Amino acid sequence: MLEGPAISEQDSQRISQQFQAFSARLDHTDEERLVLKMAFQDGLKGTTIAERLMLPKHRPGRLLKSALKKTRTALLASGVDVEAIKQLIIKREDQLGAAI
Amino acid sequence: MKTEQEADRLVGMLALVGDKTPAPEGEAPSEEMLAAFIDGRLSKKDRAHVISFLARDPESYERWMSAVDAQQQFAMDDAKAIATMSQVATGGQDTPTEGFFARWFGGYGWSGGAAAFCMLGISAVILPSLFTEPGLNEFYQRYPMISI
Repeated sequence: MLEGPAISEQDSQRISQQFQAFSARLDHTDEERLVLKMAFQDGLKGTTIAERLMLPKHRPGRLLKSALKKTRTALLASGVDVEAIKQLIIKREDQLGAAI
Repeated sequence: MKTEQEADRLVGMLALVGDKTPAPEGEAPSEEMLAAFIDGRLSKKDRAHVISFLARDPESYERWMSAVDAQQQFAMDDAKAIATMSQVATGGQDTPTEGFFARWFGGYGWSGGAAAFCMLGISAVILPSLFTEPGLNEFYQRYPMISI
């Protein structure tokens, strides 16, 4: 069983609260969320997304840009430490790599 | 996590995880509606309805992705079948897209060779007359003793 980096109870509670605040601030449109899903969950390229949604070629890129901007703003406003989350993920990935 | 793309991906994934908006109320799009969405046959209102489900309801999203994949596979199979039928219809001859020279010297065989032979013959008769000087010919006719 993998173990993540040690996080104190206090830190865990703080991160959880920040994340809840972040969730509440997110206000993506349906189209933005769908494009985020296709791009980051399924790894589809902009041209494929445009084809599948019958959008002009430039549109998915613009939707992604706007969605990411909104997300960053929400992260900043809710005080979520993206760097800390990055470090957490890197450590997790390293552990996974070592386990494999 | 070294590149900007990876940073964007992280932010994008956080957005997906963080967005807790529930699936819209009402009936999920039917197979027919999804097919019409794929073909671009929906009204603005219906299209918005389908997109809201695709964005928030994982089950609808999966059904849509499968339908798109199936349609693409069908289109590819269709193109292959048309190409095969076209080859059968032309008796295995090269299609016009395979080039002018292939058509002339490959597909048409004898007729191509005969046409080339005729062109050579015509050239052999016409070309020398084009290069002889009319003035000189006249001179030789008038003074045949000078001709070499």
